[in-house]
Amino acid sequence: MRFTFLLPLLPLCWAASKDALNTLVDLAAAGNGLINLDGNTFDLLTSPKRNWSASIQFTAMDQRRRCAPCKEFDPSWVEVAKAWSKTPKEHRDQHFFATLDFDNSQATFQKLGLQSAPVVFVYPAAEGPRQLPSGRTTPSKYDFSHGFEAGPLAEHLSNHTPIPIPYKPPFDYAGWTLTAVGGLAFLLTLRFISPILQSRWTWAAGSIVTMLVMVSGFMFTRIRGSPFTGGDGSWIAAGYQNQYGQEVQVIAMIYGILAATIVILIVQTPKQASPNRQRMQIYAFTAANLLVYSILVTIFRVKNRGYPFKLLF
Amino acid sequence: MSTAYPLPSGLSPATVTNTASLIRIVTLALISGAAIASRLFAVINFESIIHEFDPWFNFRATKVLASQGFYEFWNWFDPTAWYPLGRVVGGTIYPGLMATSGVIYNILHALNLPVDIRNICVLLAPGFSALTAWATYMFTKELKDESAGLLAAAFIGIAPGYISRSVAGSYDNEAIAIFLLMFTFYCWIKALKQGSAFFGMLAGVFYFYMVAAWGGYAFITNMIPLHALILILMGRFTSRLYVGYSSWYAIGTLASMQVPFVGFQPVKTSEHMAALGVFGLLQIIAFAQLVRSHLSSKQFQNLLFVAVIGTGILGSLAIVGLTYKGWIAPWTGRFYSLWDTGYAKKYIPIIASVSEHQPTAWPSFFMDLQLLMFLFPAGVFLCFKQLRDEHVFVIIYAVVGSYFAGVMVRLMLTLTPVVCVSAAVALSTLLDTYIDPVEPLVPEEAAPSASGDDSTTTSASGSKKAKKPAAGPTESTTAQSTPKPRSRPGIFGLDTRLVVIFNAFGMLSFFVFHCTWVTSNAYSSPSVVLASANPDGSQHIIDDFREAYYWLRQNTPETSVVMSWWDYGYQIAGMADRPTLVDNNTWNNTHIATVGKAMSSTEEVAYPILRKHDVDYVLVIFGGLIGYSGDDINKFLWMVRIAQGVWPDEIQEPNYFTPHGEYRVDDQASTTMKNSLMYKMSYYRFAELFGGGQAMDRVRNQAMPKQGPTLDYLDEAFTSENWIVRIFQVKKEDLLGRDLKSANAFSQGWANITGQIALVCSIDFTCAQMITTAINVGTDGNAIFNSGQTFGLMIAIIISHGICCSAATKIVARLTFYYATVYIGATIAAIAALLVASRSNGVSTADAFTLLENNTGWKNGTFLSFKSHGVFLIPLADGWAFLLAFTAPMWCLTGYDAAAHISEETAGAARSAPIAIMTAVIFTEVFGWLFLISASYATTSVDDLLASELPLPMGQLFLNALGKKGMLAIWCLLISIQWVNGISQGVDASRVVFAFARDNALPGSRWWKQINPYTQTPVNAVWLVMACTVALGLFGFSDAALSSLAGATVVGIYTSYGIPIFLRITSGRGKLKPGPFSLGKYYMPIGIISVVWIVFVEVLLLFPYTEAPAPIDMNYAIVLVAAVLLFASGSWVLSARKWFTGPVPNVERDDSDLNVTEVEVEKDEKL
Repeated sequence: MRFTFLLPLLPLCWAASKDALNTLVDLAAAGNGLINLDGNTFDLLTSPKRNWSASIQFTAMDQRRRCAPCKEFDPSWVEVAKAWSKTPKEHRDQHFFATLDFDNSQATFQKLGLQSAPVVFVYPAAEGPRQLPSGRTTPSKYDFSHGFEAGPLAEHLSNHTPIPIPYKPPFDYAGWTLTAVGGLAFLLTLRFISPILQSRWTWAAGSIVTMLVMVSGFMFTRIRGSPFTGGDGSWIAAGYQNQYGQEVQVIAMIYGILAATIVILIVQTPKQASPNRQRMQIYAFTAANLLVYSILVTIFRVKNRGYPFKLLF
Repeated sequence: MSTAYPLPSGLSPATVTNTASLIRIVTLALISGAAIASRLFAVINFESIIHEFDPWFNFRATKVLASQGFYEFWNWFDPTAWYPLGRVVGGTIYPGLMATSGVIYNILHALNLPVDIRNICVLLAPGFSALTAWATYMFTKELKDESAGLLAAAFIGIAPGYISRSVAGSYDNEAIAIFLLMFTFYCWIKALKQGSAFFGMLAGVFYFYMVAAWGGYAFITNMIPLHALILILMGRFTSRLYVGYSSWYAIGTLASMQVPFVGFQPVKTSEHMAALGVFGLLQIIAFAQLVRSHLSSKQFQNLLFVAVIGTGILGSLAIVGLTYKGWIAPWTGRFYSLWDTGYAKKYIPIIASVSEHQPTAWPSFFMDLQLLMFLFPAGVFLCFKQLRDEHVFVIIYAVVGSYFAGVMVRLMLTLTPVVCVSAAVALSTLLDTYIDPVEPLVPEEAAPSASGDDSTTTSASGSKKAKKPAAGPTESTTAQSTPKPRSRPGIFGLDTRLVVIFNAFGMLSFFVFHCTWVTSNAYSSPSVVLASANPDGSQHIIDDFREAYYWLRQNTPETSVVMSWWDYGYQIAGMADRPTLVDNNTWNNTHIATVGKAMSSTEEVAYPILRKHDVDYVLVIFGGLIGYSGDDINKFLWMVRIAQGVWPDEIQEPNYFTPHGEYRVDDQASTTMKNSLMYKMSYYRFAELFGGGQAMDRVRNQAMPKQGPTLDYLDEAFTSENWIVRIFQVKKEDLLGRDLKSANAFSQGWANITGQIALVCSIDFTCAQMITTAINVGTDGNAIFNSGQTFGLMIAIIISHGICCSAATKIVARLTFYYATVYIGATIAAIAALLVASRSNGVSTADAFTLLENNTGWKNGTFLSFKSHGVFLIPLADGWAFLLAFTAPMWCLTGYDAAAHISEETAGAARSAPIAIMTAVIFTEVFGWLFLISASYATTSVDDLLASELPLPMGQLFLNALGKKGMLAIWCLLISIQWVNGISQGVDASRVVFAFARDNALPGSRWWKQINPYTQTPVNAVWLVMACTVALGLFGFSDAALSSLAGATVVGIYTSYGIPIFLRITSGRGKLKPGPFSLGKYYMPIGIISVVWIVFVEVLLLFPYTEAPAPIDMNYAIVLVAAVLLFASGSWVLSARKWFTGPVPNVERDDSDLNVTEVEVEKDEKL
């Protein structure tokens, strides 16, 4: 590091603190708005006499560390830091974005008692006009429950920066192109597919599949982000108020089969002209109905252990 | 034509029709009966009680409406809700439900049927479910026929998805809303089919009723326009649609704007824009149609077409523009969260926090609708097959409804009607097909007609076909749409019919069993009262909520503000009738976040919040003991999240998790979690309940640490039987603020403890001396005890006291009760005896009252000469001696705070303890004074008394006055009094030591605060006191030491009395909230007198008894007091301020709740 020779002088006085600020500004400029920290520069950045604030990402990008979330989160972090570097200088130099990699300073991780990565700490200013009204100087932790995306990250970090971070999500070229091409293709082929679109059975299929998927808990898995199957390979989640993605498929299929047996018994079998074939169909579909219904009840008993009823098994 | 089974012949069509309609009416009546009956489980299993949370508010509002009339209700401002803001109730509710109950109430009373308003409220939902069944019947009849209608009515009557919100006692808006929903839809379908303005208007009126009753009216507001729009897109615009829609929209919208809570929303918010837009579109299309019907030019029509499209686009652009400009409010959060499902969690956690707003997993669907779940798609398929206008409506409803129900558990309710309708269509078609007796022709005999069934069928479907031939052809057209000509489709044989029908009826009966089971087990719990099963299977009712609410109602002033999480606001208002900070009407997010912040912060942070909001009590729900999972610890993260939304700097959710991201409450819980007010209140004294065993939280299945949290700023006020509800009282601001408060409590405690122990010692020592006196007199002076022997006697007395003090409080109480009578008797006897004796052998009244004999060591002194007055010509030394005499009564007037020390073991302590103290003071005052008077009369010469050989000069006084036998008689009585006195003082001292140990203020508090499980008394503390007493008794070997000790005792005790009084009249003026018993405005003069007197007497007590004391007769009281206070202060400075937190109250409670250990609370997830 070019600036390490300054370090011993740092905490001494206000003037030194000015130097520290300049050092940090240079470091930030060199790293495209993002300071790459080591143990010394970390102490400099979080000096108790700081009149600036800082957001620090603690991460472990090295291959050996096998930190998949770190890799997932890092681009968002870099994007937000870059967005911040575009702000006017008088604001930009009051808040710094930094990254501390585990392999650059394991001691810092130990000092802070960090056992996992990635972690984002926001250090408020400890002195000067931007000190918090509450007087708190200890860092606050960013809550990853908002996800790893840059949007919410920028939004939440803006609470701690002098001015909001001017982050704009990059224009989604791929998405828009795909939509445009799809729309165009639809218009072009409208002539050919309009009979399909005007057929009530297309709509019937669409509606019924939508309904089946919805009543099988699809929205539950979407909103809760349930995995497709359990970690141990089981496909039925334990508990009445919980379910896996595969359950949606199985249950929707069971409902579909049951509905189909009813529909066939209503619509198809009466049209069967041969009495014997008709009789065979009726017996077969009634049995199928009973059988699949029993399976459904059995699965339900797995979910709701207190359920007292059962059919065939 | 052949039939599968024989049919009765010769019935006239009229008979068939009449019988069928009679059967229909009877069936419908039975269905209504079943619908009502199945909703009464809650009343039968529990009682006629309002359920859950919101209904309590509705009930309260209805009571206002019923008792004060509609106008009062309309203008009702409720100052007790959202304290201190209050709530304008009239303008912030949907009044439909209350108005309905009010109307029913007034009608019944007009008919002289005095039905209680509560019973109307409880039974309103079951009553309306019968109407819902009827409305569903009417709706389905329009869709298919009467038989499908009856099936649909039966389904909705017992489907758990609807029962869940309409059991008896579930007095919520949904109770009437589903009926209104179905009937509005029925009117709409009818208006559409007939082009009837009448039905359109009826739909509008019922839409208005719906708007007045439930916020879910927006569902209708968007369903009908969506239906109309899709019909237009399908090219099905008709004048019937135009008439139906326009009349519905115009009347419905204008009427709905009359509800104050809705106001101008129908023209200003996005939720209503679809209805407005479709209304405009219909006008344009109708206009275009009109123009087209008058013109024939094709070009003109094309132009018109373009104009129509252009206007439509312009119109929608205008709406978008207005929305953008803010003229039209964008979608409100609640509705928006239905589309963007992540929206609520990010931006309005308060909505996301409600459990009924959670997404629905498939078991809930199956639980609520079971069999209907797969008949539903089949029914929708059949709707597609026919696809008349009303079928399109059902299809749209089905798709939209299933999406909404998937997003929110609560919206299962709106899905249920369409599922019932469409399942009924499917099942009734199936039954129609297989009950129909007509056998198709075998292919070879190709006969084209199927007309023979018109007259002779008995089934409901058959009769319908007879009546309405229109439906038949429609079906057959659809069925015969296949090109090749063939025979009428049908079923061959009887067995085939039977197997399908048997299967269908089997499924239906299973459905009935299922519904009954679900209703009785899952949906009939009032959630105010919980049911659980005892080990032997019998039902056990857990009534903690009401127990606690009634406790609040009966034991707190009406103005006490209760803080709890908002879920319980309505219940507290309804059942406890106390002001609340927040309630289920979640209109003010900041206020809720404030409560969340208080709950999730440390006590130090929370206390100012509580004080600023005048909070007197904090109520938490804790399920850890019996495994009630809906408790506050499980809701805690939502409190944190909501608080974080407002104070992101101070509250951060990750801090409440362990470093590994787990939500724990045991040893590994994060520090923030452990220090949060919610955690502390929930687990306060929880570990003690397990008596040294491993404490388990049965909800989270985590082992709790043995050392539970301590509370500094709140007192436990009440804990319900099963610990579900815990109420804590917020301590008043201390007179000198927090730190001094602790310091004061500390030094006050030390002063008191010294005094108490010393008092036991002096009583016991005196007792020993009295006994030696008696023995001395009895043996005529032959047996004289030396100090060592007296000490031995004293130890014996102390041991006897120790044993008595260890005995159960009940025994001590009995003993002291007898003691009281003996005491009064003996005192009166002694007074009387001395007075009687002094008549023959005593001094004159003048001498008795005025003669001053100076026997102190203060002999020399100059005269004070105030010559001008001439009154105060008293020798200084004698004057001083007179002053010193003031110390004498202090020995008597001590220890009346005994009543206060054991107040925690007394009932109604707040009132009885001060009364006991006052009684004690007055009693001691009067009898002490009388006794001193009589003693003065009997005293002939003080010098003689002092010269006595007896250890106690008082014995000599009695001996002189009464003679040997008389003296011994009275004396023995006095000894017994003194002995019992020692017991009560011993109990008192041991309780003080225990209380101090419980606050962890003594070295080795761990041992001293233990309570012996057998006697229920602090045995260890008793013996500590006794050991100290013995040690102090060693002072008896020296007179100087003894009198110093006695002085120190009184100084110690009086200092502890004086500190609070001093604070009360100085810095603490006005800070004290008077208890049930108070001195009122006289506290100030009385307080001043007390403090002055205490200072005066303490100074006197510290003086030596002679002018120039030698080491042997010095008064060492000052040394003792100083030593104790120095030690205490030093201990405070060095360590106690870190751990001493002031008194911890210890309200005795029955631990019988441990009997219900195996209780599993079955609770419906819907809050």
